[in-house]
Amino acid sequence: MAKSPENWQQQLQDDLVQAPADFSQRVMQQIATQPLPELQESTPPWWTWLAVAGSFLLGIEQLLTFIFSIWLSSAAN
Amino acid sequence: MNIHYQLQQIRTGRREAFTPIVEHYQQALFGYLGRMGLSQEHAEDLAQETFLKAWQNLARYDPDRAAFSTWLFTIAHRLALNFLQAAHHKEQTQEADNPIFATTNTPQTRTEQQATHHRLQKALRRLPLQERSALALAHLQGIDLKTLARMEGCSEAALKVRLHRARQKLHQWLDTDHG
Repeated sequence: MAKSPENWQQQLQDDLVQAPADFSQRVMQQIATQPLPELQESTPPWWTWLAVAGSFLLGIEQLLTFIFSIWLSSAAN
Repeated sequence: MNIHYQLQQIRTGRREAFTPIVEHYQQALFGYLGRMGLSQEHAEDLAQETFLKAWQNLARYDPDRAAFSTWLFTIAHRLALNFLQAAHHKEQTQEADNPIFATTNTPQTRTEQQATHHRLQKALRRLPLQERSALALAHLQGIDLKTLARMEGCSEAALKVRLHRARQKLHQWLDTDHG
């Protein structure tokens, strides 16, 4: 007699073994005996660097405009 | 759960911030280990070892390279393969019934669902390790085929072939075999 394929496929989809109720506590008991990991600050994403570079260029442009306007007004006099 | 927030908390010395990470991934991890054909007892041992290794190597985790789930399941995948290869070797040398896969159900207490469960576990253990591994990985939620293939160390096409063969064998065994 053929078995229902849906039945075992559903069981395969479901979990064949289960996490015990106190599993996370057991893990954390082990973690408590371990040293803290030395985590590095994560690198800012590329758009953060793009924003910083954009702001820098904008600042330079403003500065040059200011210097040019000073020179222009002094040259006009 | 925001993994970056939890990692930030751990960075400030809050060890307990790892608890939500364990709770979030534990069932998916057990599901994966079950599909690898492991018993409850050995799945518990390997799941604990996975989280312990994740903690010990947390400094090496790079969010720019992989999602946390991919990184965690890569650890679990390697541990499971090592364990199963060692178990297979032991089985070959001892030629004895392997207690690694022992189940606690007795025939008297087995309901129909439990019987299907038992047959499925037996069938999974009959699959070659590569095919079983492909099948177990394919059921992980939120990890794309390309990443799964990288975890398995093969091409996407090879992974699809392994997956197809595994499903075909399960169909063949479970639709005809009374186990």
